[in-house]
Amino acid sequence: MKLFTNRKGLTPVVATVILCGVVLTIGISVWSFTYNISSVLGDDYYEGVQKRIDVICERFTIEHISYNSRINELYVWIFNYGNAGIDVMYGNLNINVDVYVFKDGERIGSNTASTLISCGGFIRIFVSLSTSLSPGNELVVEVISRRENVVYQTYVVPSAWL
Amino acid sequence: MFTRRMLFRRLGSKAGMSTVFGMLIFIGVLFTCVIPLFLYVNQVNSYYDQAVIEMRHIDEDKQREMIDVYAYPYNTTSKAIYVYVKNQCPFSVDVIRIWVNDHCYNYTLKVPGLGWNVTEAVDLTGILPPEGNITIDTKVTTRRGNIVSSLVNPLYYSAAVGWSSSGTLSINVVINRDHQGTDTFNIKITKIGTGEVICDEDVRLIGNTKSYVKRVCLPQTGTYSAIVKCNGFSVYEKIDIQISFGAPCYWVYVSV
Repeated sequence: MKLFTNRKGLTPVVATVILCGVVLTIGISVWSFTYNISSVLGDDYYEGVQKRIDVICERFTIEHISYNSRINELYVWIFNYGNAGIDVMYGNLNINVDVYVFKDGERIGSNTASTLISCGGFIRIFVSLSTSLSPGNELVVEVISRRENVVYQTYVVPSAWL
Repeated sequence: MFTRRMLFRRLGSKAGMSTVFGMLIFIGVLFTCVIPLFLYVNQVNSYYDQAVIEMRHIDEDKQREMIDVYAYPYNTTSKAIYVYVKNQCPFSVDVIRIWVNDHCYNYTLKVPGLGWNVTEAVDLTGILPPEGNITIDTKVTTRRGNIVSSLVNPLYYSAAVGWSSSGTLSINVVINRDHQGTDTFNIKITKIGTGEVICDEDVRLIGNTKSYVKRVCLPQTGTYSAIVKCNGFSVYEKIDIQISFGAPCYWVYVSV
């Protein structure tokens, strides 16, 4: 009984416990904060790099262009060859593209519907023109993807096939 | 006695404990947060580098892809064309589409490295007019994204006359066969008058290859002779082929 009633030396013990608790709490807080920050930083960094990889892996080309003089429309076929048909880790990307048509430096038509082209697919995009064209006219067709890759193609309006 | 006193004093003293705790926390943070983050960033960087290298290889393959394309009619009155693809690069090439004017034909044709292949007949009934004439431009698209035009572009089709071609001075030799096996053809083009041999080339058709085309470019107008032999036997011989700027191209059709 004397053991329990004797409080001599209790204060240092309690002080030590409190001190340890405070130190541990602060330590765990610091560790937790640092861990979360590093995780967020890591994820952000990965997402940024992944976006950069998507940008450099995007591949598309203007495969064909034709002009319909009856309805004054330009048809642009775009081929997304990102996968290239071979076993690559990074190239399997769908793309969204806008098409702009210029004549003598002036924009005469565009299609800004962000048309989706699946990986390995190709699609025809219609562009209504504000001015009619005649054989021999030179156009610049610009295709911009959502990832801001750009492909240019020149097109000379041919005379009728017939 | 001195030793005991020193020992207890040391154990009983709390001086320096915070330094120890601080160091432990610092080391804990270092090993559980900073170093893994550092390794993770390194791994992501190597992932990026790998992507760059792989795409660079793909771009190099695309640039090195080199094919010669010849579109030719089966005969002068045919409403179909064949597309002959000669692969000049060491890796195989996949042709995935054939364009004839503004019409697209989905077609899969594998051309082995440094080899050649020819399509089945591409029916142009919907393109060729029943009367009048039309210009035919042909090109193919490869899986790597290259678009290659036919070397014999443009072809002219007239409903009344049939096919003809213009452009460079040339004799186009088309060999068709209806059987399998190995045949060796010799194509010899000679200029009449000077006796200059423009082309003397052996071509070996193997397996079930049905068709072959050879374009022989000519240095000048004049009269030429064309002799085609199959396994040593003459199967075609014409000695008065007139090449002029009005009719710069002549088609030789050989069927065996």
